[in-house]
Amino acid sequence: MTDSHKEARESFAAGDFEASRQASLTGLEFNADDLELLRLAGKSGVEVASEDAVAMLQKAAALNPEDAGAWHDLGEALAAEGRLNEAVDAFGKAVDRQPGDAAALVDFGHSAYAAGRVPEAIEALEQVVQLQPDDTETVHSLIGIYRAAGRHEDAAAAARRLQEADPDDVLALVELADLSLTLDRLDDAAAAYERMREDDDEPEHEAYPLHGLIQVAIRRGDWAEAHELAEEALRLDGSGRTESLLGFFAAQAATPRPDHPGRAEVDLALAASAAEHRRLHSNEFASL
Amino acid sequence: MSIPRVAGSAQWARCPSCESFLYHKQLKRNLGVCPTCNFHFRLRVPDRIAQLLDPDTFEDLSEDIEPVDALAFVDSKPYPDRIAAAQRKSGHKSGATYGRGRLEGFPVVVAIIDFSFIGGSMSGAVGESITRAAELALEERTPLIVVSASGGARMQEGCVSLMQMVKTSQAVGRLHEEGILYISLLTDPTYGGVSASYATLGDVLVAEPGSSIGFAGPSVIEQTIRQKLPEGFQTAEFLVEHGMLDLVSTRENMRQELRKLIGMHAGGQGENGDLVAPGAEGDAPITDADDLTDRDPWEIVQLARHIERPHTLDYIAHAFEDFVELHGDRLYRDDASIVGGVGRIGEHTVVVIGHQKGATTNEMMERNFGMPHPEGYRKAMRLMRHAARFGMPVVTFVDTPGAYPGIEAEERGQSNAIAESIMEMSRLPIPTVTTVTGEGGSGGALALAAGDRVMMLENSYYSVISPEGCATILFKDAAAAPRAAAALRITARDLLGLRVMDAVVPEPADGAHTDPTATAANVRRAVLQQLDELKGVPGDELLRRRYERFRLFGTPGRQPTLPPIAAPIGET
Repeated sequence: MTDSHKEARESFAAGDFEASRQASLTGLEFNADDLELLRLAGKSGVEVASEDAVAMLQKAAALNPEDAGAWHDLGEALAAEGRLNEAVDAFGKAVDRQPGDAAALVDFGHSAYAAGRVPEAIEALEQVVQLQPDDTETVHSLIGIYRAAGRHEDAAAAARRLQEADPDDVLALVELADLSLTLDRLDDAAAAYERMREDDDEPEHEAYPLHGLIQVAIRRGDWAEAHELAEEALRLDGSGRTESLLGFFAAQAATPRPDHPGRAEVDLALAASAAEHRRLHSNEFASL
Repeated sequence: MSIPRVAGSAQWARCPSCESFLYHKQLKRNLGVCPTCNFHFRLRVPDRIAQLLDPDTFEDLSEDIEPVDALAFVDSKPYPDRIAAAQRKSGHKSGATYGRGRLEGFPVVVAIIDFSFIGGSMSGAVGESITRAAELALEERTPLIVVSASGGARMQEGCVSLMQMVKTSQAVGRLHEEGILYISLLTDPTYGGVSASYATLGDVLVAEPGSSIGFAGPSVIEQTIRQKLPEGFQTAEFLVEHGMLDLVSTRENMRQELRKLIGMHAGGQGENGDLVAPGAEGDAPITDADDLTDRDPWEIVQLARHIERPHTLDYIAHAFEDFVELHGDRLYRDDASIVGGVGRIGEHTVVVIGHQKGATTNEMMERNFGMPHPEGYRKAMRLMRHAARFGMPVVTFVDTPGAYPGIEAEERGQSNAIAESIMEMSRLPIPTVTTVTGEGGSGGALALAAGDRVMMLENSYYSVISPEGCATILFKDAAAAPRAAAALRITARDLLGLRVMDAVVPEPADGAHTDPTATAANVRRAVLQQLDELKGVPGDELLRRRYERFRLFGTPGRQPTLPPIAAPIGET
């Protein structure tokens, strides 16, 4: 091992990617085909957004085409540049060469979905879940993909498994409740929303499960119950988003108010409330 | 070879807006902005610091600040449990971080609110961080940058939270009094007790695109007024349009915008200054009327109104090294018929304000043909006060047919706005230089022209009324406008003689529109000459001289008079 190898490797491990890249480039001046230095230069280059990162990793993969790691590195560099279709192909080659590599499958699945290749994405992420049942992030991704693909049964099953495995996962509970409602499993939905009232202790989230229960009550045609829940939601809802719903329920319960909205507006408002609740429990913070 | 790799979906984020999956490193390169839909992800404090400040320059001074449960508050759980959960989730002791750092080499004090800590709500600890940051900025005379993202006051701290609005406001008030720059960066969302205190009290208010900013939340407003709110209500762009923010900047440009602002307020370019002086030197201003071309007044009026004549933003682009436009009157609306901001010309950092007509039909409509509403003058006054606070000269460019004569303008106090602007400008304790570049239409022009030095371009005019108006009223004949133009003595030659003008900026032979670059070079030379002459004159002496300058007009025995016109146009 030369000094360049040592320095590049140690700097990379220490998170000093610019130093790692520079050491790699120095070493490559003496041996332009050094695989390790090419990969370290490329991977460090990805971290510091260097323009030559992809070229370095393409060369590494070409020099050793059976090395799954080299293809995976290349896929990451391409994905970092937003070159999704090329990234999917590179991740795919990594998976082909090492079929049980969960990390490569995760990247293949997500990039395939981002590139619009939905069946391939689902197949890959399902494999990940089989290989790593505790990978809750991937299950959450899969739920979203199932839902977007209209596979609500699969999405609900995944949400239920996730929720059973980790009762503190409120997002899984939100998914389970909403998907049960979508599938018209009103008892399951009601049970999930009732649990949500207990488990979601985020400030100002009190109205969301009640909005879900209102949707259940509407489906059951129980207007008095819907009205009662709306009254309760109104008391808890500091944002005011419940108030417009009340008139409608009052009308249905034969105590009309002059300004009540129509059913379509209520459905829209409740759907928006559910979407907002799911978004609030999703990770919308970028830890860059 | 073993290079670590983590299996799992942590490398992929899902955009809450468009639901695209984004590779984490791509998102990082894009500064946390979704490349598909431009959604700005909320940033953690370390990421915000990394985006704004020079690497390894931030010194965290907030580590000893923690929330206090002064009320022994319990809702569905005790407040201390909520604090503990938020501390675990955010990795910080309180909802705000502050400290020293450098931005492109400039020392700054920075405070950042962490929205992930109980919705960024303003606890006593958050208020403490903001206040300490302001106090440190004052002590070290260093610009302060506060990045806000908050739902408002923290209910669990009751009136202790409410009092933070005063505590922080008075702290930034001291910065205003001492002329220490305070830039408030508003991010999504900023509401309630935070937006109604320190966050909107910055000398410059900057926001990220699409950020929701307001006092009451939109659903509360909808329920109160029982109306659907318009698309884009309370977005940063909406607030700029309504005069409440100076500018909206993308994350990509934010650091450079802040560098320019801080650099100009520091009176220099900063360590990485890359300003380029405009090329040509320009011709000297004229102070002797005999040196001016003899041109028919009505012809001058036509040249002053020429559709291709350069306007304020053209002169700024060609005659100034740098400029950041600031928007809004903070009261009602951003009036596009008056533009203004901070700029650099030569060695001078100045506040530039000017009327702005349009070049195209759409722009002319948008800028109301250079006819300001009261909010335009109130924006100008806000910028004049900004200049006075930071000791910057004010440079104004005048080019308006007049203040807008409309119902809304009267409803919102057009007369008072003009009067206040005249008084404000006439009493600024800093050098003020005015150039009439096109039409100097009466009080609407004068509101930006009560300067220490007043100049006009050779083919501009300055008048108490338009020639057409005078012709109709006094000559009872609209067609007598050329005669009125001569009679009103509105040209540079006559106004030099009346001492309304101190100097005349020469134009190319066929008018400024034939060579805007050369005209701008002449403007630059004239403005620089005036600024150089006024530099170093104490504020009270400036005020005394300015008072005397305008005191002269109409004073018996002192007012210069003009000889009669030899052969008035249209008369035999």
